[in-house]
Amino acid sequence: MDEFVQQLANGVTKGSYYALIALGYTMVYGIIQLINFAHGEVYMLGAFIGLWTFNLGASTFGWSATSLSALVVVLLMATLLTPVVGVSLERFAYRPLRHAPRLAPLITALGASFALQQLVAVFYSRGQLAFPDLFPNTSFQIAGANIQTLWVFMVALALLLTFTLTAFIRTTRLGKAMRATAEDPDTARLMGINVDQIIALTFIIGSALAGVGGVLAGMYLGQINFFMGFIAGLKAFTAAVLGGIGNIAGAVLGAFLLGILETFGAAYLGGEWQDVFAFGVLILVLVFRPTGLLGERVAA
Amino acid sequence: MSSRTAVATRARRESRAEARARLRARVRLPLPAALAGGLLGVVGSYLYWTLSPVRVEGVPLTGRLADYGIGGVRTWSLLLALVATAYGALVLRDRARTSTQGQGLARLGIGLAVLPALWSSSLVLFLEADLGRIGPGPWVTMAGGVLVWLAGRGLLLAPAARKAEPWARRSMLVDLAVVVAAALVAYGVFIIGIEIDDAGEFLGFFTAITALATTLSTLGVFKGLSGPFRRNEGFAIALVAVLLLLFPFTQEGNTFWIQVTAQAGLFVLAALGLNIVVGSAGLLDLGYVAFFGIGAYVAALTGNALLTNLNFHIPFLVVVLVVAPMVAALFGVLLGAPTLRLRGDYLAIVTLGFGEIVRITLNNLDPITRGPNGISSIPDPVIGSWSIGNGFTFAGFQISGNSVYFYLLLALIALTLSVVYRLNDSRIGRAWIAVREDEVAAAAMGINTTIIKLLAFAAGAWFAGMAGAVNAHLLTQVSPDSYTFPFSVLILAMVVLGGLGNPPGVILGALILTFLPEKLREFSDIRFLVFGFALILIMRFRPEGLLPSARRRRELRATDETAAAESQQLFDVRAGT
Repeated sequence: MDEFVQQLANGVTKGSYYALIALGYTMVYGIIQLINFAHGEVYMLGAFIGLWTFNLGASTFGWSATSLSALVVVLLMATLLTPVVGVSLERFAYRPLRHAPRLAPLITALGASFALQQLVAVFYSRGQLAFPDLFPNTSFQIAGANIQTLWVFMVALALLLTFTLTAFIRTTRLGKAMRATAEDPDTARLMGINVDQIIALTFIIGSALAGVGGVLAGMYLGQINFFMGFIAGLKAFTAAVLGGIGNIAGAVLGAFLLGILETFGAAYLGGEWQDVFAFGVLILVLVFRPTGLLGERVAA
Repeated sequence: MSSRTAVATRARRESRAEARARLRARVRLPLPAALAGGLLGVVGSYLYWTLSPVRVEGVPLTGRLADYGIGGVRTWSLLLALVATAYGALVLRDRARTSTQGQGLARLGIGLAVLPALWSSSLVLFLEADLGRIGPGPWVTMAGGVLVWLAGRGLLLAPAARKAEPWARRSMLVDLAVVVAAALVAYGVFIIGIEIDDAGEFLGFFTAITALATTLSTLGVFKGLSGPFRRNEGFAIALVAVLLLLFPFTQEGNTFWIQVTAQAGLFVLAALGLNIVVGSAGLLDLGYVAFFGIGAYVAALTGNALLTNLNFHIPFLVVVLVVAPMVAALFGVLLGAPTLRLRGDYLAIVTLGFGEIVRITLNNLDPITRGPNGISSIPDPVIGSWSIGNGFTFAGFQISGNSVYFYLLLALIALTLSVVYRLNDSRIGRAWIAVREDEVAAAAMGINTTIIKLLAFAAGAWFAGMAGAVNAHLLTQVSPDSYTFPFSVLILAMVVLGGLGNPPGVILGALILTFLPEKLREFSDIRFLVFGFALILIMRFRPEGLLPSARRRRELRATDETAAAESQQLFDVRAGT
């Protein structure tokens, strides 16, 4: 029983940063029907921006690990800088190809993902880098399981951001414009919506969320590398498909489910099969329920 | 989404594109600037390129970098500058100047400007030489190139040339002479390229050849050449075969480049296979390396390896031609059967996941695959009682083991090409194209799209399995780390760069992407970075690749031309009423 609760907690924590990545995937897919392969790399860049900010702060302001001000600044920097990457991708790689045959933007997305990975590998580091513990390293017991406060923080932050995003899309004018664009870009344009701006906004929000995810994952995993976005991106996409692509609640649900499934799979089948398990889930979902658990919907 | 695009959007895009073209045409110079630029390039090639000694990490470098005479990269910039001058003079004399000539000139100019820019920036960026140590030569040459480029643009608004076919209707003898000359020039370029060892010099050579080739292509020379080749297909194939068979003898006992060429042959095989999936059937397979890996492991497990857990021997030819391809194709079907009903972009991500599953499985299945250690000490294949690694003696010539691998791959590529061409012309091949272009319409015409896509998947996997099996013997070992995602992207880049759906283009792409990294080992760190950007840039500016197939070109450029044609029609209708 203790073991079960412990694994459940691990899985939910993992699910929290999968969810933050999956939101970007699902929003972008919902609005321009593109699998943005480079989205996993935006998450990776979030982690690296976080580390870079921390190192900068540590050398100039003498930050030490587990300082809350450092955590806030690191998270802010990640949310501010990753959208720059996301929007540049959209503007220079995807927008020119918006009316091209489907294969073209997919290959471009793949190239962008590869280029971003290699940019970090060539100009920053190819190695495993330790990520500082920005959050107080304390833990408590629930039902015999050892739970770190960081985990609670991660899950809470992910849920908070999701609710904020949902509220934004449901209630604001911009959110309404996003829904309209997702539903039918041409009609939306006729209604006076600047579709290009709305698509850019989607990339901004998605990238910022992935950036936060990157920092959280860095703290949770303790180390980061230039290749981390590949597998994480793939899993987040799995989560988005599992929940029903284009569906925000679905992406979050799918992410938590995948995190839990994966942790239990790893615990009972052996850790080395963990990734196989996740991709197996992806294939099974696509075969038996391609519309996902909550069904496909466009942004909302 | 494109089907829902409003006419208004298209019209607006049109007018924007026109405005941009007008703006671009304004950046230009009168034609005599081409002569000045060409001559400037010649002068620049003779000036100092580096102020000796260039210090790289504190150590003064001598040799080619600080080479004052003619040689190294400057030979190639001189060649380009001379061609630019001569061609500029020719165009200047020609009264009926065309925009096609202008484009050719502009491309030469770009080449002449890019060559020194690439050379000096790679010197500064990657060898960490001091920028102040770059001599006046590169700057002067670059300026000359820019002049030639601007002069070429001056002709952009002139009428376009009629599609010239220089060798349209001549005698058989002229045809054959043209074929022989063209084949020998291409062969010569290849051999010279292999001979150049210095990375900087090769960069210069490659830029110069690329600039010349694009210029010739703009002027319609390649299109003109296709006539004689097509009319004498049998002769051309025989000639190319003889030249390729003679290749090992040009290497004078040095086997390194023969081995690299054999490696390139493997990539050609794999790329031809992927081309069936991505190029013909239009399915994006991102886990292609898995099939390559499966083929390699099959060969490793059945090839008498020393360090293996499982040992039952199957004759090499049976493995390469039947077992490995069949196992790979079987996995292709296993993966494809449930997933090919999916939308195209889902397929991409599922294949990506499949690639990872295979790699992880190979890694974890210790009892059979020896896990991360892989299987090593795989001997050269034995046919009958002859180990092909020993080579053989033919008419007094000793043929080395590496050359035998090269010949083996030539044979396999020839086999693959004949299969691929026959497939493309068959009912299945046409069905692939139909499915690629419009799946719904294809289904309505009675094509079983799932089976057809499955066949494409299996065929692609088949050739990957074949290539993988040879690869295991060539490298004498297999391990899960060799078959990772970047490898899939590399093969995809070969197909995309060369020309989706066009076998000669795919071969060219595979050759370029094998030899270029091998020649530019100094820059191996940024290899994958360049691939990533190359994929983005190709899709943006030349989605049909270097050597496109005519149909694919139309399709990938559809948005520009079809949209223009459609809006044209609409306006015509309106004008008529």
